[in-house]
Amino acid sequence: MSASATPRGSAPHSRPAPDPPLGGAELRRAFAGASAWLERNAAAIDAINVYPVPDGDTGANMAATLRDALTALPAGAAAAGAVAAALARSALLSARGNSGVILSQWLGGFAEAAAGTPLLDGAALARALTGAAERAYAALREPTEGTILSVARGAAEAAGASPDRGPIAVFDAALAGARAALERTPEQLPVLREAGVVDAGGFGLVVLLEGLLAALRGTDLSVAPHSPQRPAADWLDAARAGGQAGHNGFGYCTQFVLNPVPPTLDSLQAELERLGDSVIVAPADGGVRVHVHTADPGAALTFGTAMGSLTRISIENMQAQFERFAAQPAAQALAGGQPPEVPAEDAVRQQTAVVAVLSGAGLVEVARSLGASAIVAGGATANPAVDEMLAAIRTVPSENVIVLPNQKNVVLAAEQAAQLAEKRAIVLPTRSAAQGLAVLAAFRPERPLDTNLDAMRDALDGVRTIEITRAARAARLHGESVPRGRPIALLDGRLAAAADTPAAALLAAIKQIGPPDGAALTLYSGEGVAPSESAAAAETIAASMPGLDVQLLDGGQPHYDYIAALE
Amino acid sequence: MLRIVTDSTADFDAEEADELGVTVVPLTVFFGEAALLDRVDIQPDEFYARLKRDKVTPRTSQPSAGRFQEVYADLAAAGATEILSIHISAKLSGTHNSARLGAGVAPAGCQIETLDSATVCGGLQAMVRRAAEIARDGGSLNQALEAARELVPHHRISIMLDTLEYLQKGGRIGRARALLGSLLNLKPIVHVEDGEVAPGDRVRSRARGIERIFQLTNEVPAAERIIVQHTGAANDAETLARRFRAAQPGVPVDVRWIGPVVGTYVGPNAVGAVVAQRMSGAI
Repeated sequence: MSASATPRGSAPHSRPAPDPPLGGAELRRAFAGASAWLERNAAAIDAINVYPVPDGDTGANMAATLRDALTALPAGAAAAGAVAAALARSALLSARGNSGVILSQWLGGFAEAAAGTPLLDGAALARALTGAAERAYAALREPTEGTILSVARGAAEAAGASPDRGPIAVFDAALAGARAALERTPEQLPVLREAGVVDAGGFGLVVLLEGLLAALRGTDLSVAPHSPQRPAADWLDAARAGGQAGHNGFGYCTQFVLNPVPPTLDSLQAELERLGDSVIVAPADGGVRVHVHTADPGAALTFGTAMGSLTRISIENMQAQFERFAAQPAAQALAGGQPPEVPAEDAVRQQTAVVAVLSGAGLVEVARSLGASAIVAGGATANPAVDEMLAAIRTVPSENVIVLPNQKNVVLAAEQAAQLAEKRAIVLPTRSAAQGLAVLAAFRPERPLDTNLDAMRDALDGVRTIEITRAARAARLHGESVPRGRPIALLDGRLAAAADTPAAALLAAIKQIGPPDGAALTLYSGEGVAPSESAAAAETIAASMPGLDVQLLDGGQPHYDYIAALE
Repeated sequence: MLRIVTDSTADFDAEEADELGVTVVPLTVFFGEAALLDRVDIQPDEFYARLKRDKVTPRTSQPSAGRFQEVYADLAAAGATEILSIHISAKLSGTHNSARLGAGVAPAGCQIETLDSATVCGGLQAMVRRAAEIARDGGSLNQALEAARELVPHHRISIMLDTLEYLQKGGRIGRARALLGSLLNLKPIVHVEDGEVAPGDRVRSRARGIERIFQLTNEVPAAERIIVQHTGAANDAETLARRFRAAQPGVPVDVRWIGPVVGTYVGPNAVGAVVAQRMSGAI
């Protein structure tokens, strides 16, 4: 995959010689490739644009910013540093939209770090990518992680750590770092997670790096672009409701270049923040580029004209953009192409995932509603195999996995599966479905593994399990004989009561515990139990213990008439 | 003379506000067509009784900028030369914005500052109380502002809701959206963080939720005051207050209602606690 794997020329050291440094012409060619690839992918980038405003123009803005900057680039500069500087200067003026302005700052930082360098070797390139990321962060007063900024930093850090110092190898490392950072954006920015997408601006930067690299390698860029993903339908609905709730919906994206530079940029920034949000104030050749999202673009322009003269004024109605964006058809209906490099499952990658062993449609549904990613079938009589659990651990969308065996004699197999997995997998030894679902209530996919484990262990401490089944053989309880087939209650796995009916055995077991006021009983009825019967059982319990919060659910589990969690 | 202004979401009783010399500007609750001034025309106990009984979902609205302008003008006429106006988080209500606009037309000879508390209820109350004490002791606007601001990162609000329904209906659910969607009847615990509603744990039983709120509040060091708040769960609030009194003797523990405006979003039967830390200089 990496260019460094292809030896070229003689190798003075044990490692192959790095590819040659980049001159001005190569750098220009590389950015031309980036521009072309951005244009081809603009629609796919637009399609996932949900932050800070879901107006579907991130790709178009980034592509236009780079295209116009290249068009304005004077011919002839031979030094790489000079080409970068010229490109950055024209990008400051051609910048469009939030992401375009940040891209122009990224290019500015790149150019500053590359200044005076005729040829960019890998080390200089890594420095330039670091400078680019730093400048992009500095453009925003309150930088948000999970955006193009995080992706820029991911690229810079990976470039700096690249063992091979050739420019292509460094770009290759930067691209890998950028992709990894892009995958993490839904973990960092909740709106992305809710919408089920990665960050659009970050994706744009990945596309830009792909284009740079392809141009340097001479790869054909006429291949099909990335296929567009779409935000989740229910997220779009919620965004639509939210946008219309305000008087002006999402307001107006207002931009201009102000001349001359006012004495203090901080007070300019502060004033603009009173007018709106997403404020960017960035020095541009002789002036200041201003970007603000505001309900009242007139106020922003009035404010600007009071301070100097304005050029390159642009006002876009983001509510109208959002309506168009939200009205777009789903992914399949848009231009097709090769499978996306950012698969859907990665887009919803979470901090921690849960694999639970359960049987019974209702129990599975409850587990899913609490955030379990994978269910392995298994219960009292059918224990799952190690490889079934291993497969489940491998498929869930996280590197951190909590396994809930929910059965005493599944714990060991689960431990084995966890050890065999390439991921960080931890078994929380739940001994019943009741315990498993009770600890799942404390699980939150967006939290790190250790936080989840602490909360779930804490929840496990206070749960008592009652299971109602039939005596498999004759037994004795408190000196009395329990014939085979009689309804019995197991309390935390031990025989605790026997009665004529399952409901009576259940009530007897609950009374043995004697729950205090404010306790809760979650009751799951088994597959053979009629709804009227389970409802009557729940009512009886609630009537005899008024301080107890009873919830009845259809668990559908085999073998047990009832499973109950008392906590 | 420095005067302190706040809004009804600080959950002060009228007498208490008088005693502290704080001017409270009420927000409005609408039940159908009836516009009721928060804690003036409708008190918490009747509000929650109605909330449980009526099918109508109440709405709320902030005071107008003009109302704030009048309040500031009246205070200036009564001799105020400085006013500090501290309000419910701007992410939860437009009240602070109204105050800011109202302060834009300052009466002659009177300097007005507004502060977005980034919190609400007992958190806002603690901030206002601190500013009012400084005003009473003859302190300046800047001293009061600084003391109030200092509390922003030094207090914690945790509330166990009976349901997320009211937050969701009112459009204030914020990041607590992450707690939605479970088939189990779970009680969500939410916090106010960075001025908005943030998700905490989910618990199945009220007993466990009360215990969790106790832990979260009790672990905050150097408590100056603990305020237990509820929306009709008086018994749970007393249970919680007793635990704090036993665990932290010497720290004042108040039990009070959450007012109708905030209650519109919190819903009935919620219980929670607010802990404010002592001033850093005093620790």
